[in-house]
Amino acid sequence: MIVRRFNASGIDAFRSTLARLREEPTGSVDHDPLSDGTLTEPIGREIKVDQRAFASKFEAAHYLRDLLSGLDDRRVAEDGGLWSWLTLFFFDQVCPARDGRRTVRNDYHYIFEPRSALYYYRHLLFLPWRILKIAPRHNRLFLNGPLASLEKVTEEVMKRLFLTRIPCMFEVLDLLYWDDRRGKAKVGIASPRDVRPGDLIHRLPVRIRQLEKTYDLHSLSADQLIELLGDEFRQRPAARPPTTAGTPDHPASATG
Amino acid sequence: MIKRVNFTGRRRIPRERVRVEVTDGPPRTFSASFTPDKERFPVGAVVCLEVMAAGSNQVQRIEWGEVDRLEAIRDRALEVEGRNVYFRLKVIDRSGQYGRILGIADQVRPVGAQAEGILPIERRDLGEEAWRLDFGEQDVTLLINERPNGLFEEARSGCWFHALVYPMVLRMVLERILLVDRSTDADDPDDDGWPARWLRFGRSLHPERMAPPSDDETPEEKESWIAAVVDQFTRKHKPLGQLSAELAEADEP
Repeated sequence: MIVRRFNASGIDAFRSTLARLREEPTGSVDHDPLSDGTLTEPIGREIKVDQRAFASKFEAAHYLRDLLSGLDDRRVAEDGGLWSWLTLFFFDQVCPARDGRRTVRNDYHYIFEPRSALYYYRHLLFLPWRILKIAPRHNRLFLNGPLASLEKVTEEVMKRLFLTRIPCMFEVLDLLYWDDRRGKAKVGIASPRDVRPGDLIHRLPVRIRQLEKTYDLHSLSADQLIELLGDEFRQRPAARPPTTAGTPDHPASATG
Repeated sequence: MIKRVNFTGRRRIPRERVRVEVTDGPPRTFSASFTPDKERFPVGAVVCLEVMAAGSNQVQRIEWGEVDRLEAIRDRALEVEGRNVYFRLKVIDRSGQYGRILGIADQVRPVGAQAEGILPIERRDLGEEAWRLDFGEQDVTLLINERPNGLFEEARSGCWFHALVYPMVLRMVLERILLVDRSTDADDPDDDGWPARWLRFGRSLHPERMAPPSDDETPEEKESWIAAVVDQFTRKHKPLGQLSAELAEADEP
């Protein structure tokens, strides 16, 4: 199918579909809107998209990056209709049926709202693409899970632009919070209720805010920033990742 | 008078030393010049300029060059969106304490920019919400829906907004600072962040010019201070009086 974008009517139709599926979790998903000329419009280039299964956000991110590579990144990042169209196209990936039933989450996970500071970082398809764009390396903390879920770690980092704007931040996060033995994020770094020394969602943002008053964090390397963060964070560093890259299919290769 | 001690070593650069002009587009461009006090900064220190806009979390960063070899920036494309653009200039150590901010000029407005007051207002698509407060990193912005026509003008100068919205906005901002974020010291003249500016604004309105409660005071004391500020704000501006007058006019046959 050729990629299109939803217009306002198309987004309304998708919203209605989501509402219906919440009421009827065993209902079928109508894909006709994807090619309905009254609900969609062309995107200016002919890009062919195929149905496929993504084993992880990492796979989806790479596929979407390649799919949309001919488009201007900045416009793609603001195209709510495009991302919403793609989400309906890949709906079985972002909202899979289990035992014939789907659990449809809030609309903003499926309908992209680029101008909403509250919701833009929660879209299940846009987010992996975005993370791969801003962190082509050091993204395994965020892209290692299934496409249909939004991990707390990802949410808490991506909603804080003052963190993601710092060039070395993703490397810092990888060094501090990745657990090589488990092959996933360290335990206890993103507990909403418990504040632990050096944790990601409570202590790190506070410490970064303190440091940015005195240091230009854009100028620093990951090692320099970790040094400044202090002992409560330095006790956490993971072993440096191996310098040899894995295959593109292996999430561990996402450390670069 | 309490003497403030600057532990950071960061100097405040007078805004007058930074000159920025924005030219409307499209595309919008800007030109900038900086006259540093070179004796204050070591050789090799670098300057960067950051561009921001009220209601936006975008930051455009320009690595300007070494402080003693700066050339003016001319007609650079402005990449941030938003009407109310402002700038931050930093002088950064690249030798001794790498990355340390040696000097900063914050909230630099372009030449000729109209003072927006403490609350910038921007148009946005807000769905079915008429207005919303955006607590950004750089500023608190009042977002007004693009629809219907006339709503933005009503927000800027209409008596309905003044009576029904602005007292609430003032309360919401102060509650956010004192009760939610529990941040900031209004007495720090070097703090140009929006929480500090709003606390200074609140203090100027308070009937006894009382400083805002510190973080270790009770929520009730903080709410009491906020209530006094909002009450004084409405007594000063009398928004209900203007609204009453408009309603009375509307009732006239």
